[in-house]
Amino acid sequence: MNVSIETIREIEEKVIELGGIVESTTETTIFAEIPRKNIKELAKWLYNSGAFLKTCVGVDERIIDNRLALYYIFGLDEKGLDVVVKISSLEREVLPSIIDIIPGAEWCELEARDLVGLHILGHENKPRFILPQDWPEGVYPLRKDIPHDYRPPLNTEKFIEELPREVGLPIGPYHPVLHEPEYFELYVESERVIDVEYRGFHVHRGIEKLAESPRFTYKIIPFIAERICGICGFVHSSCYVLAVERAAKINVPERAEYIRSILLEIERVQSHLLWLGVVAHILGYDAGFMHMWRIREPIMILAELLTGSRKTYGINIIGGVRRDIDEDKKKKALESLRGIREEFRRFVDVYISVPEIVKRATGTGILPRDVARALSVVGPTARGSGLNRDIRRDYSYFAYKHVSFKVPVYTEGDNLARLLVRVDEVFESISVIEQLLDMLPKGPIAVESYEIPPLKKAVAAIEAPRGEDVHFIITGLDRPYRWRVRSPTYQNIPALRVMLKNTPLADAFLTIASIDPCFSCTDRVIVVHDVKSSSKKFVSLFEGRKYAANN
Amino acid sequence: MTLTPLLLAPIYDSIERKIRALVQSRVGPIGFSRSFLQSWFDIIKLLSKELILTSYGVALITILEFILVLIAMITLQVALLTSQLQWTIALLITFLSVSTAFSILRAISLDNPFSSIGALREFYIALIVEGFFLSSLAIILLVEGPVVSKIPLLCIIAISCYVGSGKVPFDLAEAELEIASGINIELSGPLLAMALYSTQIKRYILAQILSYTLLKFIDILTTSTITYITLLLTPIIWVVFGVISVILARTRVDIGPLTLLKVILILISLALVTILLTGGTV
Repeated sequence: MNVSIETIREIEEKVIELGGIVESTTETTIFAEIPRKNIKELAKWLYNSGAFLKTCVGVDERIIDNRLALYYIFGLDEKGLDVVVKISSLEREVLPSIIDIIPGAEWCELEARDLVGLHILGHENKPRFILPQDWPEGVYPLRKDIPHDYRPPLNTEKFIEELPREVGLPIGPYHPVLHEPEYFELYVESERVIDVEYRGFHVHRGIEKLAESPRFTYKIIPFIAERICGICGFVHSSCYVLAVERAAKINVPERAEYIRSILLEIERVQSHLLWLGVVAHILGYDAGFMHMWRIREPIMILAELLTGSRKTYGINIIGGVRRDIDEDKKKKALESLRGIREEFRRFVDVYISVPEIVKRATGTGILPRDVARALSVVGPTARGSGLNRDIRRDYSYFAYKHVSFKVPVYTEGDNLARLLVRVDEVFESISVIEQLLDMLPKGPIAVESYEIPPLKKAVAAIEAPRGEDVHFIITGLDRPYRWRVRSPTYQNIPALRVMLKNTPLADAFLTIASIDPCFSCTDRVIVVHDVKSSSKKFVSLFEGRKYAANN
Repeated sequence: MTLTPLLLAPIYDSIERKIRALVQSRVGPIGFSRSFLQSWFDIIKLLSKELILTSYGVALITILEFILVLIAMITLQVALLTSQLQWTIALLITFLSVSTAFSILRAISLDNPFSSIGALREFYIALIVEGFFLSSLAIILLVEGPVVSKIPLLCIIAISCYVGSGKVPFDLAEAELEIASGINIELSGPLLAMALYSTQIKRYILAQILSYTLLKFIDILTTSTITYITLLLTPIIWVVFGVISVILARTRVDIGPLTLLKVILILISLALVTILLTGGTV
């Protein structure tokens, strides 16, 4: 999508009117800095102009200009333009919050407070959001003077202070419906949920800091990024390389863009089929669960054919991809897709006519459109609440501009709407893969060389199966100066509080599942610190179990 | 012969699991022996696991529940062999109801919200089903009358047996993914094995009652052959219940029991209408 000059000029004029400066403007993003006292006014103006808040990022820039910065990233979907607005302060100064204008900013502001030590008005007395209770006061892990391997002493007494005074119905950190550690406390009257408390980030999130450590470089980070999630990891590596390529202005060969798009859609199909199976399991419809995963199996085999791996493809590199798709693979892929479509079409008709599924998903977990807008929710959660947003169509990236597809939107806002969005998206994604394979251009699959200059900024967003995945980067020497990952689930979890209220208890679990939560994305990758050998490594859940057993 | 259900119940459960797996396009327990004995292996494995007791009362109630199910099972087998089932049916259902009451008591006595929710769900379902089950069974077995008026009552018995088996969609009291096994959440090791074994024997009893009632309803067999045909029909009923549960999803506590009550009331009304139309007596 080509952004109009008028739109860019209008935003630039508004920034200047509010006493700010426009740092740079690229094809996809405007970078601006404004006095912190005017951020609310600009946020309000952008929000009223149709912008969604993508996230905000705290950055320690004291070694550059002795200040701490907070970058708000807004997305104007209709214009296909990101607006990154920076405000900054000296260490002891206070920054304003914009949550009274955009409630969806609360999480990222709290994160910036916890990890970078920003003083943001209105958040001073709130409990810790990300850091555990035993983390020492005044130590902010994302500041540059804190080493990446810093580990605080353990203080279990602090955790006891966190125990709830009044016990509700505890869902987590370990519960059969949650496949990753997360904690919801449901307050119920009879079998109706009247309130919800949420506590996340149990799994330590070290990836952004780790990427700044000397042992990692730009070239290695895509492989770490892909390990953020076991289901949609390719999205994260794609988003990371896209951000670096934008920052360094690297022109990626068209064939590589097609291959990335094909794999992103394969990932969407397998993720949606996995989710549809899990939902059937939650609703006690195990036949649906098993058949949905049976249908999913050929797509996993297809991924293996094209990349060598069923999951964690590992083919993204900065400037292209590592593995090509030849004619033989293309033919096999098209044949396989035809079979998957037919199988899915046949079974999904049965699936969505099971009375218990329809009854339990209809009218439960409602997220009204205005709340969805205020919280800037993403993906099927947004589209199920009538928000017509899809990053593939609204913003220009990879090969999506060459294909046609529908964006399914349902206005009901309930669990069924979110389910139907995903069902429709499976068909659309299969069609997109077929179109891309048919049109796959000839040529190289990666650039031969590139340079990444320091202190360049870029934002990349990719439509993951769960919604918009956002990566923000400030380049450094050999590795990012700051890399921020905002997963779709991070943006969607705050909506659960609204969705769960007044929901029957039995459907609370379906409602939690309806946003397709991925807590590993939200918490990001696990780092195991071996005290005995002082070694560290990244682990998947499975590896983690082995690690625990052997140590 | 009176003790064969103790051996057969886990075997029938294993067969059901294998058939459910085939319907779901899975392999299920692999190999000939596991196809028939997987539930036995599970029980033996659980017996070897550690026992974590949250209170001695839980252990006591679980044992009492198991004993009551055993008494019900023995009563049923003796009644079948002596062809006197119709006269002991009330006693039998009472044993089963008391065992259900014990499981509710066990769950509600624990300081665990999931357990309490499971107990309440079990209570709702028992409240709706038990009375109608007993009266329908008594009428079919003890009262002479036209066959047509007994069809709705037979349907009630079939539904009650299915519901009593705790199969989807009426597994609300356990609902693993919602309330983390509900009434069974605090059980572990040998106690959990005992509770699961009780459930399997109870399923056997209910499948046998339905088989017997069905044969009495058709009324074409001699009294002595009914006993043997009942024994053959029991695993078939068990498997049919299993297959039905595969194609259904779990209901919700504010939908399932109410729908169940509506269906039972409609069937009772039908029975009353047919009685009136056929001359006013059953």
